Amino acid sequence: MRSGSSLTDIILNTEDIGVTYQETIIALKSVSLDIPAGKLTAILGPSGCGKTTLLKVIAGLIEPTTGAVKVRGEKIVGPGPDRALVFQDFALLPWATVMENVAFGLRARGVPKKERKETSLHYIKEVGLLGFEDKYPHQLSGGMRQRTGLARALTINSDILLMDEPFSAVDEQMRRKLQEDLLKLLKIKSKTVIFVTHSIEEAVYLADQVVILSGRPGSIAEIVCPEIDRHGEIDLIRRQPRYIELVDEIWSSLKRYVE
Amino acid sequence: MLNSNLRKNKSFIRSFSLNKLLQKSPFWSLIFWAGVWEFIGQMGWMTLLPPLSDIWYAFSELLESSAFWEAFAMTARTFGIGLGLSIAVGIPIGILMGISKRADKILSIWVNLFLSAPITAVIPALMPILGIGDATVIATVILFAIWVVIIDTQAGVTHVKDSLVEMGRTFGCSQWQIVFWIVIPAAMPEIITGIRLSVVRAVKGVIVGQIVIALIGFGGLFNTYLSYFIMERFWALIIVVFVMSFTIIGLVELLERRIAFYARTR
Ligand SMILES: Nc1ncnc2c1ncn2[C@@H]1O[C@H](COP(=O)(O)OP(=O)(O)OP(=O)(O)O)[C@@H](O)[C@H]1O
Ligand SMILES: [Mg+2]
Repeated sequence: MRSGSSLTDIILNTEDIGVTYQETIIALKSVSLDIPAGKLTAILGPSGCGKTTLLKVIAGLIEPTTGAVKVRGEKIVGPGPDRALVFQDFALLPWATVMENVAFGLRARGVPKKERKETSLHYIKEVGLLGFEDKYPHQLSGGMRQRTGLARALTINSDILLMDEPFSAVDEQMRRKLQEDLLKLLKIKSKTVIFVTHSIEEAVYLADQVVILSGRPGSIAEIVCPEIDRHGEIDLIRRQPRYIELVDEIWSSLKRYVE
Repeated sequence: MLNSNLRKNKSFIRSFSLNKLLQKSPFWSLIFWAGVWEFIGQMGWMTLLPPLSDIWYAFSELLESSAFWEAFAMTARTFGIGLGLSIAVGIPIGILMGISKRADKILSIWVNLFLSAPITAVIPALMPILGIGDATVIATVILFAIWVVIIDTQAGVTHVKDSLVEMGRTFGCSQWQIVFWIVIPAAMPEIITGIRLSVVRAVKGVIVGQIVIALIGFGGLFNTYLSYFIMERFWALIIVVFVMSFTIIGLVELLERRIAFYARTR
């Protein structure tokens, strides 16, 4: 375990990960990746290249065929409280209210009811869903469902937040709003975030590190560190020469894998 | 002017036509056929078909006889136990088959076989084993009712979204927590449908079982009335059995509609 400046601290790393489905479908091939603590890492790649697979391996849901995932140098053996996953399809229980959904992780951990409620309410407030605690998922918009899933992931207070295409199921305005909210949240919380995305713009705008996967079998094609200045107006950021340059750069490296 | 008047008249007549009336509500249809029955009965064309008014009289006699209430109690008892066991055993088996590939492989052939098999043919084989009494009727009810519970529960469990189970796993849920907190509630709409269908089948099972055995419960009564030619009572009993069946099935459908909330919100 390294110490010192928080900028170079590696909280999670994957070592030579390979995943083969049903003994013939090679989804990932020797993926070795360092995830800096407190930073946002985006995983970008063509459809079907193994982004979700990589995220699920990191979450501990899929056991890799080869290699290992280590959190602070310790090899993981499954899901753990140090990592929380936000699902692409939200994975909300349709028969449970927002409150019950958000409290699910705490309930699984045996947290007493009263404390569960308090903590959940805190995060419901934090994601801006106050007043919707007693609503059911089908009564919510896509953005609100995503927030519910995010609140649920936040309750267990894990250091690492994994998100699979967190903003793909909502419309453009909502996407921008959620992105800004996420950045705001991370300023206060200092979490390590790994998120999968289809959008180059989103990756450049949000991430400190962009991992580009090649087409199937997915392996690391390139790692780009945007280092753009995120202070000030969003629209200004999106007009920065550095921003535009990066989007172009990533697109040209990704283009090869898209037929 | 004249033309439109005529048309109006025509539609006026049409709305009073017998056909329309019968289609309009099942109640009028019922009244109509009851009238036909009464007429045929009064004509005395068939000894097997007494007039409905006589049956109505037999009906009140029937409800006063202790033999009827004994048969009723036995039917209710065997129906309740058989259906209860079908549900209590069928759901866990269905869940097991939904979760475990191996259990599915071992059991699914048998479940599907019995689901469509003519169970009635098996009842005579049950009698020497279970005797002539409650046990055989209960077994019949189970053989009628359990398979559809299993099949529907399994379908519900296999259709639970993977992401919900993965969600449970990421929060460190135990296998049991995943089954009870996620899988069973998610499979609820299918389980409820299975239960509804099994109630319908159990109603059939409890009647068919008694009739095939022909010595106990309503089956015994039917047999007695037929062999002594007490046709009024025979028909009264049939009507009672029909009404009971429809009531139970109607109640279950009402219940399902209230729980259908789950299915909509999934
Ligand atoms: N359970 C599975 N069994 C077999 N093959 C699978 C399974 N899951 C994924 N795959 C295959 O592995 C490859 C990678 O899948 P994965 O879902 O990780 O891709 P992805 O990059 O997330 O795709 P998308 O951009 O469409 O979300 C795909 O070709 C997919 O068909
Ligand atoms: Mg994916």
